[in-house]
Amino acid sequence: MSYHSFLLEPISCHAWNKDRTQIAMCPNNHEVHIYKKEGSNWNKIHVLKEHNGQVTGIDWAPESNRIVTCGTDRNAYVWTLKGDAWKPTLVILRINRAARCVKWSPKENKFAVGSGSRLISVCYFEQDNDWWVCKHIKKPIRSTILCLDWHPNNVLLAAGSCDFKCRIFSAYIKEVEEKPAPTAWGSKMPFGEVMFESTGTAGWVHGVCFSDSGNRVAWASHDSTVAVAEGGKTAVLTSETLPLLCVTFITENSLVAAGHDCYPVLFVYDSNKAALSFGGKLDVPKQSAQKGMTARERFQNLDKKATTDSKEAVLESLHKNSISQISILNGGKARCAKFCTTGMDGGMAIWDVKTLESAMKDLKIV
Amino acid sequence: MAKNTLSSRFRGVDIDEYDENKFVDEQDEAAEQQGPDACEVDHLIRQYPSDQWDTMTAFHIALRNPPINSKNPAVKERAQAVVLRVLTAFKSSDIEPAVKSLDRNGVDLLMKYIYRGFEKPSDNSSAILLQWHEKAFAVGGLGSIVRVLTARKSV
Repeated sequence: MSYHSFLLEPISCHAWNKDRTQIAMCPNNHEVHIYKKEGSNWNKIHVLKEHNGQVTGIDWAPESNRIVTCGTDRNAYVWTLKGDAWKPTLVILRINRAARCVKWSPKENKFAVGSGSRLISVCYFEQDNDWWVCKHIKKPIRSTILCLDWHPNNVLLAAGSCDFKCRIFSAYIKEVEEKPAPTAWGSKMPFGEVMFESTGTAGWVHGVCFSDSGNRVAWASHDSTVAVAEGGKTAVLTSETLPLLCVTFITENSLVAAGHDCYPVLFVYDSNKAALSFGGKLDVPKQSAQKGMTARERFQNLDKKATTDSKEAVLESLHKNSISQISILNGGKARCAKFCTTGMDGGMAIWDVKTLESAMKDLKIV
Repeated sequence: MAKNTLSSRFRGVDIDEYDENKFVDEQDEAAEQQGPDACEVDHLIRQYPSDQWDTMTAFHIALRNPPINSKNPAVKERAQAVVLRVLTAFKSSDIEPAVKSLDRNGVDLLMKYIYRGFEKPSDNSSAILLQWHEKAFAVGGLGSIVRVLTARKSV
């Protein structure tokens, strides 16, 4: 596990380039900073200044090398690298509240923006006008869209919302693609059609993720639950921890999620029983340096803190504040070997799946 | 200070009701949710000194049939009163096995009743509820408290 602390400000969002040498992130202000790994240092090579409000979402398209950013100024920009600088192109989203999240589609010919205007803007490039246009998915969304994820077929889009539901929409744009083949979620996919709506969880849906095949969708909800839906059945797991904020599949049957408890957690999905179970806490092993307490210290603790525990009030996890985003570095969602987490402590941690598996004895990643 | 902060009696219209984007929860059917059976629970509690296991049964009965979907506040008040009676009837040492006998959903439901009980404290209820809270927290963790806070349909 490696941990790098960029700044003291929380990292609002981040995205990696194709070969994972550069990371674009927003240090909780109006800018996007791009850092490049040189040796063992991270050097800031670009600062993208165009937004007038906090940048809430960044996504970096690996093949076409374009960055899309969206912010609370109700705008999205598509950045292309021209020579040595990133040049922005404004995308009119036609929203009247902040944009919250943005994701490129797998084929990178369109992207979706979730916003507080209770709608999703699906944007695609119109060659004739040399301009990005967008279409809205409005019904039946009744509150802010917090998170998005695309299905591998480039058409279906999973969206988690503050109206306590995770839904799968069709974002089929006939101008840029062919009619999609039938999937496990349905066969008729006109634009804006709801293919799936979640039941069984309450609370805002903070994170949503399709599995590698696209047949399963997992979401993390604010009532401290995580759920997986596949083929009409939903498996919900209530946990005793604080709510989770982000979730991703690392194999077809295993998910990693992280949130307000500051450490990533593994969950395992059993499709035969349609059940989700807790797999283990993925974190640096606890430093068990239990030094003995003198009687004097014991009384002092009792006086000051009304307890004789020798535990210090310091978080033992790698991240010292909530983890807000998790991204796969290599291996894809089918056989992830490394993933990265960023959080409100301004730090970025890279986790190696093999090391975790060998370090935690009961961990089994199926 | 502006003059109109003195009295708001002139504000006769609740404009939030007319907001076309107002979020309204889906209406589930109220079903036959009359809350737990008070008589049965009373009967079992009265037998408490003789048979310890009756309180356990009373406890389980009290937690059955929660009036979650009901919109009738009287039903909810009654259910809350019944559960509070049962919780008060327990000896401190019996609380832990009672909580351990519940499943995940039961612990969440118990937490909901406990927090509902905190809202209207009476002479001894807070102390007893705090004892129950400690034991339920040990099993349910922070997650069960978060579920009490985020539940749209309360008990």
